[in-house]
Amino acid sequence: MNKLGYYPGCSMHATCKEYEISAKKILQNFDIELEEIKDWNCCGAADASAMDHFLSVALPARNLAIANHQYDELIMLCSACQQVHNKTKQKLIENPLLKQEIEKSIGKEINTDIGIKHLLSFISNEIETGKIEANVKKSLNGLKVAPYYGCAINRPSSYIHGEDPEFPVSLEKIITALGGEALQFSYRTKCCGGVLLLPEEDFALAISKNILLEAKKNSADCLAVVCPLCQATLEIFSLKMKLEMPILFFTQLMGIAFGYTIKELGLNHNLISAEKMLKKYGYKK
Amino acid sequence: MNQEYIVTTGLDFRFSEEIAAIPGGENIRKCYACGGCTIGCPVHDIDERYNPRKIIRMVLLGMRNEVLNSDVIWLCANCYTCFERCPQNVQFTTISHAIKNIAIKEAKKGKVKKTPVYYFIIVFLKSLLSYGRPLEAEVILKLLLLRKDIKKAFAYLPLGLKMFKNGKLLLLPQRIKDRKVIKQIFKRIKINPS
Repeated sequence: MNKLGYYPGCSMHATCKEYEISAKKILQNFDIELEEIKDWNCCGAADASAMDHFLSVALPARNLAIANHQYDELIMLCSACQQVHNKTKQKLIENPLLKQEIEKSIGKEINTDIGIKHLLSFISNEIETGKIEANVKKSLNGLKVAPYYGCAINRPSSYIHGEDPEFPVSLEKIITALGGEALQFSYRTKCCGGVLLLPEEDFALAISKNILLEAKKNSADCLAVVCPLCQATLEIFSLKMKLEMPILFFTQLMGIAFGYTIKELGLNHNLISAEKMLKKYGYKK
Repeated sequence: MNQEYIVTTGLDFRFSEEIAAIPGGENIRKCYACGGCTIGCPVHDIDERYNPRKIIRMVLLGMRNEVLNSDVIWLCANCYTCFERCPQNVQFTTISHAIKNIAIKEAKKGKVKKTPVYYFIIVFLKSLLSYGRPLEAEVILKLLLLRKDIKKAFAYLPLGLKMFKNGKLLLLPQRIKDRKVIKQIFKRIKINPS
């Protein structure tokens, strides 16, 4: 079993536990285990940045310090956590004085050589498409999937060095390998407005609405997402707008094709059940 | 924001310096007003009052009061589209952070209006400070209380129950062991949710 350093972020144990459950499951197929770093803290998300620059760098820096030298890279499932930690790494490299000050404040040395990767980048870089195809037990059978990247996974490219932020392709490749139809989806890298979900719900709804309606217009059966905040936001509004379109993590779609059960993929936690959609495509429990 | 004339007597010519002195705000003077930030902005898409190009101009002109008291500076969705696309590398997303850094300080002193996003940031960080990881249920509840909007609170109820039923809402915080170090990090900022 190949062990990888793993930073979950707060939502993996609460609002989006199905993401972690399904990710761990499908990684078993590739002999990979996620090993959670100990006593990690919240990265501060966009809120620490809005409050104070030092705070926004020091909070994630502590997580990097915890992972110190134990791992070459940290895997993250949350796009925003990944963005924040990559930003922090960059700021610490650019500013040795800030790094010193933070090391003093947290009483630990920080290793800025560590790689910080979103699970989607890890899978698309390290696992060949052929290997994904080889693991498919039940093809998605032409299921129409709208691939949705959202914003924080590849933006800003100056911190993240991932795929082209305007033209990412990894999700489409995975969906196709699973036997699904990856729809051409013009909103795929547009923001869902999730940051505004709690404080300014009407704004978040107005932003998300366009994405959901576009997916509906393209006759999507579901959306494939890569970020817990996108998932929560789009699912809540899909429910409120009575679209009932399932918003699934890409790891759940992989797991469905790999033949895992509803429970094994945490599909019972999703607010919008995928069962109806799966039945349509001949998938049985 | 809709004034026809700019009242020069109220300008603070050092405002752009104040922004540029905050990490992330350094590049504000490089803006040549092409508006690329605004074309790609998802918030501008749905509400034209939110206009990053105008906000930058206002900062450069020294319209400190107007900017800090504007409702719209709080609406950035933090999507980094403007940051990514700007031909001048102005980095508006982090400029927006710098503006909020100042606005939060002023709001605490009562000099700037407290908005829903302000309350959210404070409540979220307070929860983070207490446990090392914020507790969503607590953040939502406190936010509803601060808003004093009972109708909204009831409107949230069915969703909250559904989320709880589906195992998506924790009622107890995920406390980390080393909360002392989180306190240490927060030491330089005073934070209270009022």
